Amino acid sequence: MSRTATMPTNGATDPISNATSDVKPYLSLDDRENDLGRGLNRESAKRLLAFLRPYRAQCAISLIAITLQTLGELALPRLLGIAIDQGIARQRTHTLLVAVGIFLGCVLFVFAARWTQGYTTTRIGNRVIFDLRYSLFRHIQILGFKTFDRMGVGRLISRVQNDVSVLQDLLTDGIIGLFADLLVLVGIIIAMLTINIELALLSYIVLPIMIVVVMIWRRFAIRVYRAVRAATSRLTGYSAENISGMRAIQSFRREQENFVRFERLNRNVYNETTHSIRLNSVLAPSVEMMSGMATVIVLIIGGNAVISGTLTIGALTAFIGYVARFFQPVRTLSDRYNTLQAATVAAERVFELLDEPPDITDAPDAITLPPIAGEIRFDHVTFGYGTTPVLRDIDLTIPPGTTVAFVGPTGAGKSSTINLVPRFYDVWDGRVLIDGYDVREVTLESLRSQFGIVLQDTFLFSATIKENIRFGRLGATDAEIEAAARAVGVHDFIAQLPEGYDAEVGERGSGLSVGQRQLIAFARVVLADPRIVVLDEATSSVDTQTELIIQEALRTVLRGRTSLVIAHRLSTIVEADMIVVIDGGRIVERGTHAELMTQQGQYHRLYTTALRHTNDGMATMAMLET
Amino acid sequence: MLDQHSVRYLVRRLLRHAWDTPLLAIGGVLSIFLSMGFSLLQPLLIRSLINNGIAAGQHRRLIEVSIAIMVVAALSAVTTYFRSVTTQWIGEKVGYDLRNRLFRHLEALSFSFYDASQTGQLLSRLTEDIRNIRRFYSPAFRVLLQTTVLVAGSAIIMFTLNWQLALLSLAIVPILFCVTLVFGTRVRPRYLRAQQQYGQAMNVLQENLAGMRLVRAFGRENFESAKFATAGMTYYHRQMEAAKLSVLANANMPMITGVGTAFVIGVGGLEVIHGQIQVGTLLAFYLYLTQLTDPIRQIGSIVNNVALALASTERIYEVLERRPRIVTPPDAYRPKEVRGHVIFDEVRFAYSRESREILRGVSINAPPGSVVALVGATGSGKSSIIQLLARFYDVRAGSVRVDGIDVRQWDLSTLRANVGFVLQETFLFSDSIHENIAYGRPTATREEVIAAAQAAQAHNFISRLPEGYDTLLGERGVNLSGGQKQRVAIARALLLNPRILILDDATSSVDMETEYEIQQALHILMEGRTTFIIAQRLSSVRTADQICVLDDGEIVERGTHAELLALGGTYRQIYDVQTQGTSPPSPLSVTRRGGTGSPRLPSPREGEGSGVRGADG
Repeated sequence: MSRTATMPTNGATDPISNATSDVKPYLSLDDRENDLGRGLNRESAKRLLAFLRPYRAQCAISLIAITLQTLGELALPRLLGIAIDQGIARQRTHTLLVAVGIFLGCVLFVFAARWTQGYTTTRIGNRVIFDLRYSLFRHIQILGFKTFDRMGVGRLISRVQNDVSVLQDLLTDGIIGLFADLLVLVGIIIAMLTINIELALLSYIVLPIMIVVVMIWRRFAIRVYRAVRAATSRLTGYSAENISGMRAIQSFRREQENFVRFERLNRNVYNETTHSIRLNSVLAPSVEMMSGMATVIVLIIGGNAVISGTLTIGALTAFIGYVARFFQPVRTLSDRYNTLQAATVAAERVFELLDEPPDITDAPDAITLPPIAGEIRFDHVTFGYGTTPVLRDIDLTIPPGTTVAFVGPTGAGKSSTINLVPRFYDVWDGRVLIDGYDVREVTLESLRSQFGIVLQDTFLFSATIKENIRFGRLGATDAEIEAAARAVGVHDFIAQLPEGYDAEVGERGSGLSVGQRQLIAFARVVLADPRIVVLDEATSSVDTQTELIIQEALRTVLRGRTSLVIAHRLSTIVEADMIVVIDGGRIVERGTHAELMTQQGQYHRLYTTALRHTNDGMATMAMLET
Repeated sequence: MLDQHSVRYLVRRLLRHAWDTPLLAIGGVLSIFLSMGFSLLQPLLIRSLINNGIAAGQHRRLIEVSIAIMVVAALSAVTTYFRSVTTQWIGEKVGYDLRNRLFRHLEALSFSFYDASQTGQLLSRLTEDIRNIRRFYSPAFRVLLQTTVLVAGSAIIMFTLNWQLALLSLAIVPILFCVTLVFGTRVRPRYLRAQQQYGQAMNVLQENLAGMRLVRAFGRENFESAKFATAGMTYYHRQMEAAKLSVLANANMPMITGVGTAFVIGVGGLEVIHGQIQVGTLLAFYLYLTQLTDPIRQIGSIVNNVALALASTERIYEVLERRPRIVTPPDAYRPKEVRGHVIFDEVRFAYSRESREILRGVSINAPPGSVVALVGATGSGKSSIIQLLARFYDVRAGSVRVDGIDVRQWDLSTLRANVGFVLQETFLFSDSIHENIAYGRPTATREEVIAAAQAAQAHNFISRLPEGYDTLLGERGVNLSGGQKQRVAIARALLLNPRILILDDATSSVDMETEYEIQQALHILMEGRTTFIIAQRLSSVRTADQICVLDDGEIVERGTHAELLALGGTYRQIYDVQTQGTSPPSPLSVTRRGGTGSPRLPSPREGEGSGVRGADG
């Protein structure tokens, strides 16, 4: 999962945009199973219980209800026995009817208790799950980007989705179920003992055999189950990749070869599954056998006792009823154990995330950054993600209102540089100053509220266009939003959509072209009207017409603001007030386009190599003139 | 919902699949009947034990019947095991076969199919839908048959024992059926609604994480938390709406049986007192009642299982029954040698029958070894041209000929073996780098792969990777940068050694220095091959033998770079924009569609958009 950790080139530069990639969820093997078989953790259990605390009263209701339900259920076989012994055997019609009446009442009572219990438990479970997810979400909002780099977005999502779901199973089913099972087991044991001690003890003989069988079975089952999961997820991963890459497969005529591989994976799933089918089919009949054995023991011994008059026929009937129910909890207890273990692991993961300290926080004595002019100073900054620095001794002053273009090869440190200004990361050494304030000495809120940001991979939320632009300033009116859209030249496009500004844009802005997405992101910044703009220019190409509109919009966005731009467009670079060439984490050159061209240094080389192969000499001349 | 006719058709189809493994099918049905038979025997045995053994004081009889009970329990256990194994096995086998068939079929379907479908949707045919179908055999079919046998068997036995008591006991059966069906069909839609809401809540999370920088930069943490809370709370309420019903359903069933049991004991008890039946018989009734409840209780969810399975079957067959449109003709052309002479002759093309034409009479003559550059705005038809060349689609009118033979006469495999692609969005598989480069020629040796990588300027960065050419890409391995990916793709195309080469804006997503390296690699690749280049940037097309400027499906200008510059038309305008970024907008794109008069951004959905990402994405 930790893609970012292994990326050689653009390693930690943009942890976020790696997030929601295509086939990933299918490929990830659920690593939960590797942890099965670990012991229960008291610490996590305690913390989980703390989440139940607000719902104490409901928990109490639930427990009382389940106790009553179990008692009622256990009373039924006994009532049947009494009806037979007191009513039928003694030919007393009235007693029989009374016993039946009580039986009926008991059934209705169990119904009420079961309903109350079920409803309350589900409610508590869902409520606690909501609380947990919400806490996680809130916590994620303050976590540092370092954590994202390390954990990967996929894993974070899986914490909130899967791990919490496992806990939900525990809360709605596991704990209460466990309690009920134990209650039933103890209840039956007591009920049987009160009827006839000898017979009761005899029927318990089967129990140890049963427990051993279930335990051995469980060990096999976990292994086989894991194998099925692994095989299935490999097949799914392969299918996902092949479907999304079908065009490539057909282009390279790989149909036969890939089918052979698919078949192999498919057969593997088939084999593992049939194996698991044979195994999982063993348990139920075994329990049936045991239960049959116990019943027969009871029948022979009890039957003899009835014949010799030491046991009533009603008591025997009740006994048979209890034996039939006896094995159910033993069987489910092993399932509960699984749930419990899975939940323990899940709980640990959830709490681990909740405990993750945010690495970027307001200093205790942080002050509010007043409205700024927009001067940015890098004061001998050194910075890195892991152990080796990515930026070394960056020293740079950017006067208010100027546009700086960062240029350099991939991985040189351009993104890292601009990430430090809104304090997405903290420097290792040196300082980043805005209007003379160290970014670490002001509140994050007041710092970032003065920023506008446009990322390379333009991000839009699945919401309307209007809402997406309004993200820049929540209080903005519709008129202001339209004005912002006009300013960047995207209004005409939006206006001709059937639903105009209320048009929904899909996931990550699907339905819009790259260029349109960028323009909407620009509108967002214009609406926010920040003093500082951080912009990572998109590299993907757009057609000429759109290119023109974007170039114009960019000028609007950057005008009058301090702008840090990772530039890919020649026009942006050439028009910048200052070009900073970064290589190997150091600033190697700085100056205007004209200055750098005359220096004949790295910029000159970059510019000419790029251009020699991209444009005519004439074009280069044309550009130099602007 | 499905109508009755198609329900019958689909059920028959599923049953026929089960018949593919006759032994399993027969074994399954047989074991269901046997195991139910044994279950039905038990209460009768207990009745005999009580009436003839205990009540009659017959010790021997008691022992005999007890042994019989033990034997029947053992037989029942064995048949239960076989029942469980066979019915699940059938499902697994059907699933396995269907997956193979589906995958094969998906491989044969053409691009136009993929244009109209989503990856996730297709993937769910192979996963979710197959799972649903498996559940049709077990538990659905199994439980349905079991319940039928059990209800019918119990009814027959009970009636022979005592018809009054039988009527009374069986009275609860229809009630149970009704309740389970009513709840079963009402609970599910509610859970589906809850599930959808869950998806929405998780979508908020996903987007929040994906847009985290934006959230932080604009200080929208609280706004986002509130959004999540709303979505989560709605999910909670939906969940509770569903739970309300399902909890009630769960509590209902035992209650109905309980009430039924109470009546049977009461009435039966009276009959015993009046000497009409014996205690053992009453007990047998009690046991039959208990036995019936559980399977009937499952019917509700079983009905849903069946519905799901049928819907899934329909979805799967919808794909399977789609005939691949682009196939090799019977006596196909399979030349030993290909020269690479490509001719587009008055080609007209549209992505689907209804949609407007993307190409409207395009003619291009590309002699072997020449370079043709296609230039034009998004949606002008460039991508369509290259896709027609490898016959990923068929033309509507006119023809595409390679070496004088219509591509529709060619053996598909031979044709595509001679067309190499390096596309805008490079699709690499999560295999090793070696396997990715050798993708078009799986038999290539390591030396050949290295040679190709060297020529593609990729060898250096590959050998710096931890495991060199064996480094895994993707999920479990290393992620390459855009430029690196493209160089791997170039190596892949080189190794294929095609006569015809297609390059789609291959250098757009890299920085300048990388672009330079890639350009060099491309020059090596293009040598001696008929090449079609699509480029947004004119730089890469400057040296082409022939530049075709496309607008709205027609070639509006044609010539070399110098000729077209001198012409002063569309090409010149695009050129000026790219090199200076200041010239006025091209009149072509402004007035082309809609005629609003204002500059308008072409949407990717229009025209060739969906096909552009085409061959590699």
